[in-house]
Amino acid sequence: MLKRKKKDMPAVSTASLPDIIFMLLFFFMVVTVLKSHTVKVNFDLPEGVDLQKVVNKSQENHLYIGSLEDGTITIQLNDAFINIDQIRGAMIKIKNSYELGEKGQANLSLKVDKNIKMGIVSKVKLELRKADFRKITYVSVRAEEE
Amino acid sequence: MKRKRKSPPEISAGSMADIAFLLLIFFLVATQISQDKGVRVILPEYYDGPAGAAADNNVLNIKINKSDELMVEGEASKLEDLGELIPAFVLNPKGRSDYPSSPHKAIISIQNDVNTSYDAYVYMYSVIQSSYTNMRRDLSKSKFGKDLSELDMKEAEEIKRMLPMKVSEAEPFES
Repeated sequence: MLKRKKKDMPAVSTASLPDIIFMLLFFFMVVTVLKSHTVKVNFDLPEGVDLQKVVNKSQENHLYIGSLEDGTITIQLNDAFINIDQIRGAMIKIKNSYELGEKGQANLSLKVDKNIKMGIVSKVKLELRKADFRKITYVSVRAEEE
Repeated sequence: MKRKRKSPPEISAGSMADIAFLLLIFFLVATQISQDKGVRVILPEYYDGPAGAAADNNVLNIKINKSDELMVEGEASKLEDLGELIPAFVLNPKGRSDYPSSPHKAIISIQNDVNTSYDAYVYMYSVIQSSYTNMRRDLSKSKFGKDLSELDMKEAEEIKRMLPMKVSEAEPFES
């Protein structure tokens, strides 16, 4: 009896701890999206007040308007460069790729440099209306309150 | 002889957890779960034809020029003041005859220059939206005694019906 009491308690095995942590790690690596697509144009987002969140990220399409390294203003739709007159066809194609019930959720995030002139944005808006792709979000950052 | 029989010492797995933790914390810090925010807009349907005219007293004309200067109903004004001008127009508390007789008749008409900066345009649009949100919030408080976010579908529809946000955008002018 005495002998038993003197014996050391066995150490708690920590061998499975790395496995648990690795599982967490893999979970985070899979869940977080690092970058959806490569943005090749440079832009600074404009400011706004009382902004709404972009709800369904997976349903989201992105249109970027900004300047390239050499300063030329370029439009990028999702992953590729595009001309204004190609937007209409591309948007109709995107719209048709949605399931019938999801068509209403199709949203386009416009990420446009704040120094871009409205002329080009107006042309893009007109093309979107012609393609009947009318739900858009002007992505912006919150204006600093004074 | 005795030595050879002894099994090799176990590799300590205790520090593995630390390494994995380090990786985990790195990923937690490095990945940003960024949520895009912005001004949500539904563009009007494409319509190629003569524009329908609305009664002049129901329309608030906002023009923004190539230097991002604002003109509301023919008077120069500032972007910061727009948040007060819109409720004064839409709700028409003073009962002016050149303002809409009922809030649901009010139309905000905006026209920009081709050289207006996108920054000013988005800011202006967000101010219009936010002043409508504020008006709806006040209406919901006085009508249902609840905040906008607590309304059920039917009540929210009612608020939207009473205070619809009608924004019309004219073709941009060139200067």
